[in-house]
Amino acid sequence: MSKELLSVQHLKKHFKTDEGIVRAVDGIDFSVNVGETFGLVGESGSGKSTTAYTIMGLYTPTEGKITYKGTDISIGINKRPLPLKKDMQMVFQDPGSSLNPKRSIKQILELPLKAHDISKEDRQKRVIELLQMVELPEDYLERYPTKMGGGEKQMIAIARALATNPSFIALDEPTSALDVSMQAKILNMLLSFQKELDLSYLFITHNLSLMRNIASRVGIMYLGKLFEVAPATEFFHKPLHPYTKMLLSSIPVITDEEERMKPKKVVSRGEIPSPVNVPSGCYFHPRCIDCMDICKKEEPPMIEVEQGHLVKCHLFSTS
Amino acid sequence: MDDMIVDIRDLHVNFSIYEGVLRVLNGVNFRVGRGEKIALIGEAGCGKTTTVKSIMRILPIPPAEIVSGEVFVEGRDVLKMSTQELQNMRRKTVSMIFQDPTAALNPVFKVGNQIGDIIKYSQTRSGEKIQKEEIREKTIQVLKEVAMPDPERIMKNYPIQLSGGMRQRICIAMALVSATKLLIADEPGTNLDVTIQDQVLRLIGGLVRKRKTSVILISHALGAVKGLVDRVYVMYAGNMVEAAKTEDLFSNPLHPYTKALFNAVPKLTGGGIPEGIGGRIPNYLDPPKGCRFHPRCDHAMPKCRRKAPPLYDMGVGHEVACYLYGGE
Amino acid sequence: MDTERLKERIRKNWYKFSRNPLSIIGLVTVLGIILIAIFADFVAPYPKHAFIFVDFPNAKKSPSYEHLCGTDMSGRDVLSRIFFGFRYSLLMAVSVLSVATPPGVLLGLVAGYLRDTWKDTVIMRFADIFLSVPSMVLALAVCSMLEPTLYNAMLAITVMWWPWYTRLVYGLASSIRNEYFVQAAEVTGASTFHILFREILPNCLSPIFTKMTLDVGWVILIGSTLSFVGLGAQPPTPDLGTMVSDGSKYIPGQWWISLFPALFIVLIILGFNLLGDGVRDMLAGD
Repeated sequence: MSKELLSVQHLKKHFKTDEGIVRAVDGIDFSVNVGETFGLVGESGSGKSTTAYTIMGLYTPTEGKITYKGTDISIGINKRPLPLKKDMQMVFQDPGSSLNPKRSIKQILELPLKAHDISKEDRQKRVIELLQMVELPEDYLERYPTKMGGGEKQMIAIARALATNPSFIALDEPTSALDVSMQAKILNMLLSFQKELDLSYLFITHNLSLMRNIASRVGIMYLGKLFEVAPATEFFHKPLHPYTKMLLSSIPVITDEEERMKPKKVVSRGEIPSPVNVPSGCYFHPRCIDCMDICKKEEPPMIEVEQGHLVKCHLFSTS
Repeated sequence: MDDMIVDIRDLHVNFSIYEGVLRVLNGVNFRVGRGEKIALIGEAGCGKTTTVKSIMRILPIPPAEIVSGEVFVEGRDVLKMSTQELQNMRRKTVSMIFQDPTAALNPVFKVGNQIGDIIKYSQTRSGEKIQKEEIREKTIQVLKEVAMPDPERIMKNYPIQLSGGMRQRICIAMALVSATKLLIADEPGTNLDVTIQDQVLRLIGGLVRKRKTSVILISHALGAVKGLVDRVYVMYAGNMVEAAKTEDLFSNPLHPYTKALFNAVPKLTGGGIPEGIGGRIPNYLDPPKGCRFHPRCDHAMPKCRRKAPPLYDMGVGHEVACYLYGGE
Repeated sequence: MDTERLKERIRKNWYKFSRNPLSIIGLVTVLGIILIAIFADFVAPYPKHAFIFVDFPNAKKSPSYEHLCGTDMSGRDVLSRIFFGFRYSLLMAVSVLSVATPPGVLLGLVAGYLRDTWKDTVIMRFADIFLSVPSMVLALAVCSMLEPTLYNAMLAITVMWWPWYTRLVYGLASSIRNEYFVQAAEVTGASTFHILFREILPNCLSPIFTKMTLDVGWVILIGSTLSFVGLGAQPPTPDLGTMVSDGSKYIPGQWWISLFPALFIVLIILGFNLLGDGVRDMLAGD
C-alpha cells in the first residue's frame, strides 16, 4: 500500500449568504496517496472545486482537519509557511483567467521562483527548463498570454505549478475548456510528469470518460457529500451508489462497446437542489429511484463494502 | 434546391484584424434538407459558428467579409436579401439558440416578457395587433412545451432566479416560437452538467420530432449528438471534410481527421489517454495551401499540398474531401 | 529585439487609437494646446500683454485683424492672454491629478483586495466622507478658509478628487482579486505587495488612465469656476476662468472679453474628452 500524503477528515466548508448557509462541503473523508491520482467527480454544485480550494488554503475549513505529510494544515493560505506553499500547487479551470494578461510568460513563470528566493541566474535557467518541459519554444518567454491558445496557456499554468518542484498538485478541470486533441496532449504530459517527478494529483473533472483513464481512485460528490469512493476500474465497472449509476448511464459515448458497459439508463429526475435548501436525510433521496423510507429521515453512513470500495447509501448499510 | 432548407455553396468568409486577413471559411458546402436533423462537429476555431451565423446573416460586417459563395435558405440567397426580407426570415423561418443561455437572456427583464416580445414580433404581420391575453396564453403554452414546471410562476421570474438548465429551456422556448422551419443550436447544454445536457438535448429532439423542424446542432462533443441527428458534417479549419449518415460516420469514418478525432476521445472502457493529433490548427492568416489538414496528416501526398480536394461522393450519402478516396 | 517589439506595440496602439477619427481630432487639439502653452512667449502675438499692461486708447476694441479676439478693459490682447492662460489650466490639471491619483488608487487597491473585512469598511467609509459633501461646496470651503490663490484652489480640488479614484479602483480590484491568476499568485506564495501592484494594478490601468484624461477637462472646469467666483487665481494672472469673470461686467457690450476665454475652455475640455475616448479604445483589449 502506498504511503498516505494528504488526508481530509470530516471536512466542512460552509458559506453564509443572504439566502442562508451554503453547505458547499459537508463532512467528507478521503486521502491521497503518494504517486497516485485521486479523482473527484460530480456535477456543478457538488462541492468538488470548493474541496480543492479548501485543501489549498484559499478557503479556511469551517470544521474538520486537513493533514499533509503528517502535519495539520487546516489554515488559510496567508498563514501557511512558505515551504508548504512550495510543496503544494494548483492548476485552475479556466486557462483564460489563470494567467495575468498583463504579465509576460517569463514574469509568470518566475513568480514562484522569486517568491521562494531563488537567485536570478538559477531563475533564468529554471524558466527555460520549464518551457522545455512543456514543449514550448524559448521565444514564448517574451510573449503575453493573450496571444496564445487555450491549450498553450494551460501548459504554461502547468509549468508554473511545477516550478518549485512540488509533491502535490490539485487540478481543477484542467482540460474542460479545451478541445479533444489539446486535452490528450496535456493529459499525456501530466501523466509523464507524474511518473518522472513522483507527483500526487487531486484531479477534478465532470468528464467521466476522462476520469476513467486518468485516476487510480475515484470519489463522487453530491451537494457537499461524498457518496462513493473506489478504485477506478471498480468505480466504472461495478458502481454501487444509485447516483453514480445515474451519472454513468447518461454519459455520451461514441462506440457500442462503451455503450454496453454503461449501467442501465436511469433518466435523471429533476435537478440538483439548491445547496441552501438541502433535502432531509440522504441528500439524494428526492431524485433516487431506490429511495426508501429511511432515506428521507437519516443520513446514511459510509460503509466499506469491499476493500477500498466505500458507499454512503442505506441500500448497503447493515442495519 | 426546393427540398433543401439550407444550401450553402462554396462560401468564403474572411475576417480583418490588425495583423492581416484571416481566411476563415475556405469554400464551405453544406446542405440541410426539410425536416432533417444535422450535427456540425469540429473543434474550436474551425468555423462552425461562422458558418451558421452566415445563414442568419448575423456576422459582424466589418470585420467579417463574405468574399464569395451563396447561402440559400428556402431557395432564396440570404446574401442578396433586403433588410425587410432578412427580418422576416429571422422572425418566421430560422432561429438560433446560443451556447451560453445566461448571456442570451436580458437580465433586467422578466422571462415572461422576453418570451412575450418574441411572440409579438413573430406572430404578427406588420400592422396587426395581438392582444396581451393572447400573448400570455401563448407564453404559458410554450413554457409547457419545454417541460417547465409551474409556468405561471416562472414567467414572473428574472433569469438570475432560475437555474442554468431552466435558462437553457427558456432559450429553447424562445427559439421555438419563431423557428417554424429551422432551428440552429450552438453547443446547447455545453455549459451545463452532463445530466442536464442530456435532458436539454432530449427536449430539443422531442420538440423537433413533433414539429418536423429542421435542426443544425453544433457541438464539439461527439457522443452527445449521436442519438439525435440523421446526418453529421465534420468541419476542419474552414472546410467540410466529411459528411455522412450518423450510423455510417461513427462506424466507418473515412477522413484522416475524423478518424484522428474519434481516436483522441478517451473511452469509458479504458485504454489510457489517447495520443491526440500531432501539430496545431492552422493559422488563418497564412493557412496551408491545398488541403488544410495536410501538415498533420499521416497520408499526405504531393497533390494534397497543391489543391484542396473536393467532396467525393462515396454513395449512400457519405462524402469525403480527401484524395485518398477519389481524384486522379 | 526590444526596439523592434516596442515599435510594433506603438504601431498596434496607434491602430487601435486611430480607428475613430474624432480621437485624432482630440489628440491634435490637445497637442496644440500643450505646444501653445509651452511656447506662448513665441506664439502669442502680444506676449507682453499677458500680465500687467495698460494701453487705454486701445482698450475694449472689438475683434479685428490686429487683435483676433479683441482687447480687454486694460487694452491687453485677449488672444495672447488666452494662450498664456493655457499654462495655468494645464498646470492645474497636471498638479491635481498627479497628487490626487496615487493615494486614491492605493486606497482603492487595498480596500478592494481586502474586501469584506473591517479594513475595507474603514477605508471606504473614510472616502465616503469626502464623497458625501458636494464637490463645489467642499472646494469653496477649503478655498475660503485659506487665501484665495491658484495653489490653494488646486489643493481644494485635490482634496475632493482622490476618493473618485478610490471608488473606481475599489470596484475593479474587488472583482479582479477573484480571478484565477490572483489566486494562483497567493497559492504560489507571492507577497501582498506583489499581488496588489504587479497582479491587480496592471489590470486597472486602462480605466484609470481613461478617467484621468477625461478628468483633465473636469478639473479645468472646476478650477475655472473657482476663479470665476474669485477664489482661485487672482488678476492679473491670465487664468481663463478669471478672464471670464473679469469680462462678465462688460457683457453684452464688449462680449468678446468673456466669450473667447469661455470658448477656449470648452475647446480644452472637448479636446481632452475626445482624446480620452481614444485612450480608452487604445487600452481596451484586443
